[in-house]
Amino acid sequence: MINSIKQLIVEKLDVNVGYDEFDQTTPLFEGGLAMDSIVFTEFIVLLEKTFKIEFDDDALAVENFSNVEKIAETIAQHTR
Amino acid sequence: MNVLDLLEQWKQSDTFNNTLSDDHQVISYQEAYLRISVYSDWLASNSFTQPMAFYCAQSIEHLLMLIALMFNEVNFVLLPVKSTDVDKELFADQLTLKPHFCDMLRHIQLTKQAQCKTVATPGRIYFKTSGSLGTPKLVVHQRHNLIANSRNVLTRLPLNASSRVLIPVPMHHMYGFGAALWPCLLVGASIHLTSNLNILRFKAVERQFAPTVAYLTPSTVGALLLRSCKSSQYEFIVSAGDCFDRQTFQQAQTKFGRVFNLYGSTELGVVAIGEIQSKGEAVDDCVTALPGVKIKIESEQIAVKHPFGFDFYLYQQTRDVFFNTGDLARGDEITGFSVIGRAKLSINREGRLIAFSELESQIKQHQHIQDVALVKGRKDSKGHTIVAIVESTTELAPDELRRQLGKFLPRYATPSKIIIEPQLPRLVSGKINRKQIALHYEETEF
Repeated sequence: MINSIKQLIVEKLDVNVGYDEFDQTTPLFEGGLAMDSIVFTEFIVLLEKTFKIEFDDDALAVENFSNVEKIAETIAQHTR
Repeated sequence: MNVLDLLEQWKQSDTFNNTLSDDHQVISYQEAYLRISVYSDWLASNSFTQPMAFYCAQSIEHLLMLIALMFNEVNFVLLPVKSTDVDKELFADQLTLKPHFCDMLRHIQLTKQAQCKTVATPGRIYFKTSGSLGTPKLVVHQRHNLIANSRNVLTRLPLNASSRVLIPVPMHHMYGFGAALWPCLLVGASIHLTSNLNILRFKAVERQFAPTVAYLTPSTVGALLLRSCKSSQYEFIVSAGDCFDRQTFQQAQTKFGRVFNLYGSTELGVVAIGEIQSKGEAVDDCVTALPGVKIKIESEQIAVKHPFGFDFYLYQQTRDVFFNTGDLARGDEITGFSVIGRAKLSINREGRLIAFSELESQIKQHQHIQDVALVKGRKDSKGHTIVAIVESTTELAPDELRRQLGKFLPRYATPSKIIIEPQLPRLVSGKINRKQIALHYEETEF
């Protein structure tokens, strides 16, 4: 799942980053991929569509989306 | 007005228990007053070479130091923390802060620079224009005019001491400073400062701070309203910059109640405000001038005479009484006007004004590009995209060229599409035939 999430970031989002330029622990926001608010919203919609889930409101918290590893865990919780 | 007047105002409006907060701390107005006094004493007991450069982050400590600087008549330029595009020789001592208060004031850092080009003038405050790609201008304001400008905003926006205001727009920028921060301080509203607002932070702030008012832009509104439910806590939001599309406006109205549109600039502060309304299938975002502000709209170009506007640009000390904003509008000065864009070739993307001439100069620095003409691309959630028609004999694929440009251009200014032509169409004079190019390529990208 980590590879699929990375693939989405590289291929579908306006972040101008290569697949090998970040890993699952790279912060998505400041100091890392520096995803802005609009790109991040697109990313959430894309994750929901790709993994056929809908994040509940409580899951939309900074600590659940801080990096690819955390996102994979959050998605896993929604697919159980 | 001095700091004692402001304190008296806070006392009278019973705001001492209201709060000022950021992502690190929450303090009462009473505590804020004490810290402003500490910072004022610190300013009085240190000798400075002015004009000073104050690097201002979105934190309460920066806000309190900013108030102290203003009320101590310090001559300073307000700059973002990572500002690198202003000539440092123009200003003297550099003041930076950490966002956490320390009793020994070790969070304050002063870098001395004995000499600078600019003569210090007490009470002057300089703002930097956005200058998305070119050299930014430095705009000279008088402290008392800035406060009067913000007081004028209160004639139109229903802010009061019980308002709880979310300010994610940077306070080193005139929108954050003059339209958001100071009107709120003047009425003693509770304020939460934040930056890099995305849907996750927004939801966290809503839970912790429960704002009733927010200063946003249409693009951030779109991004923040993902799966958002109706909420009764908001009284209104204020927006500036781009226009709302109908769908986003309707979402914003459902979530936030009233939506005010604000028009202004770094030079003039706030010029006009209006409440956005639905008008059939369209959105009516007309604004009307604030008291004392005179507007002239001729050939769709807006010129403004503002009683509390800027004095001049630093090192360009003349200007017309009516300041030509460079913006285009439809409507009139009496019933109101809608701003429809910039007079010069430009687009607005991610809230940043991008002048094509400036971006073209940068693109031409690429070794394989002989010349370039930019046109407006399709519209997406961030504004218009940019299409670059480049004159080149390169064998590079357009996507590779785009990737290379992305390495030295800011992301918001990187063209979304590159079209390579061996020769651009030209007029007899040799200039690029922009009309022909626009006809072929403008808004045709898909």
